[in-house]
Amino acid sequence: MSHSKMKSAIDTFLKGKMSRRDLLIKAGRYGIGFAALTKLMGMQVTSALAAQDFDWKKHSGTTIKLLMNKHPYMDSMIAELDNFKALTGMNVEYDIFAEDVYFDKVTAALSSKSSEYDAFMTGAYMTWTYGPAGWCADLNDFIQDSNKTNPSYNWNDVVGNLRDACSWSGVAGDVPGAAGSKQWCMPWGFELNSVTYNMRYFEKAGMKPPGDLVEMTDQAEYFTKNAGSNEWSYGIGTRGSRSWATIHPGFMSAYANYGLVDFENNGGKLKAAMNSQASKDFHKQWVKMIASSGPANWSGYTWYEVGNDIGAGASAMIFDADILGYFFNGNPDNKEAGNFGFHGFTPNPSASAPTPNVWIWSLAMSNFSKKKDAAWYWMQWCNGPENAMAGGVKHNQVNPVRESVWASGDFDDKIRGTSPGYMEQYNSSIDGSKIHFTAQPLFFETTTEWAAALQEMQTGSNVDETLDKLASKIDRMMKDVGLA
Amino acid sequence: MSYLDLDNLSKSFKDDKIISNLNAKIEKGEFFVVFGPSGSGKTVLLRLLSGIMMADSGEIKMDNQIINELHPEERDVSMAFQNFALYPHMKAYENIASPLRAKNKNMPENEIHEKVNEIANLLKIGHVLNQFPKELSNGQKQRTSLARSLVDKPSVVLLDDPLRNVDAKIRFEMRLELPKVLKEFNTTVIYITQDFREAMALGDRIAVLYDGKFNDIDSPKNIYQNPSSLTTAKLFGDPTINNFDATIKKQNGFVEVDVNGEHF
Amino acid sequence: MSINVWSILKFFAYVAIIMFFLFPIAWIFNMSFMTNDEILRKVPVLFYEPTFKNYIGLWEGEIAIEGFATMYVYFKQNLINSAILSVGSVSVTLLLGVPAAYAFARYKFKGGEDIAFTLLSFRFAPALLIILPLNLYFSEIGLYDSYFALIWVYQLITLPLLLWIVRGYFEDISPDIEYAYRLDGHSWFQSFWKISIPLAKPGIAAASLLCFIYAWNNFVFALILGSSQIQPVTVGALAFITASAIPYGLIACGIVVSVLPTLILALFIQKYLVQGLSLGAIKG
Repeated sequence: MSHSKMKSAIDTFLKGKMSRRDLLIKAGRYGIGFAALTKLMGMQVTSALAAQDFDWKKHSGTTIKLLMNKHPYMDSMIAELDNFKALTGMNVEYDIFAEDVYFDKVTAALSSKSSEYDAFMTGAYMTWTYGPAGWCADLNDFIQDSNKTNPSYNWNDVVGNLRDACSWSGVAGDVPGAAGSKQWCMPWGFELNSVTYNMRYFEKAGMKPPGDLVEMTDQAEYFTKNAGSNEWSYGIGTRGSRSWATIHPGFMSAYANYGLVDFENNGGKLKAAMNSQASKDFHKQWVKMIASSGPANWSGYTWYEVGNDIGAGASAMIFDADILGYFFNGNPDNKEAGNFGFHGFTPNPSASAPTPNVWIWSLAMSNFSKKKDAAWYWMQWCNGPENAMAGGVKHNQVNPVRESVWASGDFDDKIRGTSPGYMEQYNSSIDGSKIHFTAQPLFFETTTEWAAALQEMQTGSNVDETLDKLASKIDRMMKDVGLA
Repeated sequence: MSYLDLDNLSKSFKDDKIISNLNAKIEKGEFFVVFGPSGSGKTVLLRLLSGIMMADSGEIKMDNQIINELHPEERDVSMAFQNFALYPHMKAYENIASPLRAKNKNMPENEIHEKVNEIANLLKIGHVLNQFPKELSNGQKQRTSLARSLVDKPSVVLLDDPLRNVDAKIRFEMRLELPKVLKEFNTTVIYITQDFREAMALGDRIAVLYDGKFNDIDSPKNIYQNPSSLTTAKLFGDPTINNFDATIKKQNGFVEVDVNGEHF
Repeated sequence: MSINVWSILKFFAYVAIIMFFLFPIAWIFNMSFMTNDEILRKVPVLFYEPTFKNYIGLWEGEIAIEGFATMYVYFKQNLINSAILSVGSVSVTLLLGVPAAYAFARYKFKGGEDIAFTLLSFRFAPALLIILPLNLYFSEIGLYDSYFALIWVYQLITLPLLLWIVRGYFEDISPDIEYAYRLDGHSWFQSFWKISIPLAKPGIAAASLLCFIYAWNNFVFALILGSSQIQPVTVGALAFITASAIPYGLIACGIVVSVLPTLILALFIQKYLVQGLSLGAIKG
């Protein structure tokens, strides 16, 4: 059997000149199974990197330790980790904690200045605390240093909005990514918030996915009203727990789509803007929708309940992370797996495109690490173009943060094969996708208050009054830290 | 069998002198009753003798050897407690066998069995050996406790008011039976009671304890007839003796007594 | 007749009470033999074909979700960790706590009450308040991520608990019983071992069980002070919930398995608890 012929076929594939399907056909012809092929590809990627004019073995023998959240991204990283070890001669240990407790663990480790962990997973919002506190390193020092970063790393391949979202100057009100920003973390995988709907249910109801928020409300109401004689239980799934997590997905995406902001920035002084007239009107529409057609225990809803309900067929659609729909759609353990469609949603009738708020799982480097250069080797490999491609195509590293992955035929094939509308949703949304919050240190406190106010309104308290109260409370909180 | 010398023995709690400069000599094989009203320090005295408490000053000599500093287990002294102090988690048999097992580590099981049964039969509790203390009547508990204190034939047996917690009928029986049993064991007995009839019935000698010391040490008869003080005399009457002020004088070959003007 | 009606009413009252307390447990037990699909039906399924898939997956640590991903759980290791931490903590607590409880019960020494109260006050301090500084120290002296360190920290919860419960039991034993044993010719240690401890056994058993439960249920100490290699089931069980599904069957199965050790221990210790009641009053 021609091993070398196969290798040249893989080379062609890796250079992007052969589609995955062609490669598989070739592999079959040479009698190589899929598993063996995957392995061979890994070896080959490694050898491609190893052939570069860059000393990958510089930290050979060094062991670094990662603090990681239990997540599909982590699983796809681990699946490829042997390649990194072979490439660098380094060893990688990792601690994995469930998301429920993960950030407590991170905060404990960083606040005690522990050098135990060299790199960790985080979200951009968290670095608004970690960065200014001096807990994580500014990655610009590494990205911009050609001695430390391999020549094919190509930082600019990472979606610009995401790169910006992971950086900040530390000055409250400054836009992430503006001049003077420090790169507190780098994007690894991300989610944008839009609509996932049960195609079977929508077909049965003779509907198309919603065109705006009013239509979404009407559709949700239809599903809830007709739940008795059908499989579903209610219309629209959104999160509702008393936490920042309730504000940042669908809610913030819609809020931004109406051109609304959380704060007005007057030269570094922030003023809560949730009680503007336009915001009040928006809140009324939102509250009406969740009160009449949301889940029964809405105020306890987190990612898991929202996902679980659409997975089990209880809800007809969700306005939440696209990858939440993607994961639950792909897992055959969920009753409705395979029945979901994806839709780039524009809530505001007068807006031209969706403006999803984003959550970005990112990689950060502990400032207390004693092996920063070695940790950086792992980081540049981990979200480098080769591993991002492997994660996106072979594993569940979705959504990938690199444009090259989105542009690849294999990734396109994979997504279109499983998730109708997903690529269209991405293409229509990505330009408006960013963090729509004002960067400020009390992010978690203010959004938790906001969620609490939403809960009150959902149970019937007056929207105008509740928002006035919320705004003055947040103003006081900002004043206490000298930001108002 | 041993004799004991108590020499200037003292014990106080905080500022309270319970025993102060107490002296006595207890003979070999004697049935020595310590009699005193409640709160007079009888129990404290026994605790000093047994080693449960340590004296502040003074000496306890056993066969001329000072034993003040010895731990309870190092003194050849046994004790029956007023509240019996049986081991609730052991059957009567094991309660009684306990001293045998402690002091003679290698005593064969059949010898232990023999000795326990011997004393149990003597005290008429042979039939309850397989029972736990909570299953015994107070009389049986009391006999078990006695059996435990006697089984290893100690040189000195301390009995802390052993008949106090049994009913009147048993108390009466035991008063007759106890001296006989104890005689068989050839041991020095120090017996505490606050019942003067018990003291009179049992004691070879009685020591009357109050104010922290022995005020009379004598045979029952002598103490009854010639108490050394009014306090002793009062303690020995039932019903309490009458006492009154009187003038006694010898006149005309007669003894005359004037009481409140009355003339006898 | 009236007695009959009464006893029938009583019977139903008992059934109602038992149902109230046992229903959730029975339901979880039930769920552990169901597939996720069966669990999540809109109308609950009462009859189903039991599957051992959840238990097998839990044991093997690898649950393949066909055509999607493989889920890894480290539940077996978590279970072993919980066992090491709980048994270790209770052992150390018994070793230190029982003699200490005896000392506090029997001997009056200077500052004794203060020390006893200080130990108790550890129970009042919020764990999170202690844990961050501890994390700092433990990292500094290299104790981060060790069973030894965790068992040490667990003493904050278990030691005062045992100390205060067992102390009361020792105080209830008449000192005369111990003296009697020593007058029989036994040493202090023998009397402690053969008299005091057996008589306090119901208290020691109850306190040990409570300590075990507290140690078994502890969450935050291991989370902050240990790597994922030494996490107990309480932390490990969270990992069942993934971004792509909530495997209720697997979670139920994890609950059943993690409740089992406590249940077995409780049944085993019950003997001593009952024994304590039947010994009756120790005094007199």
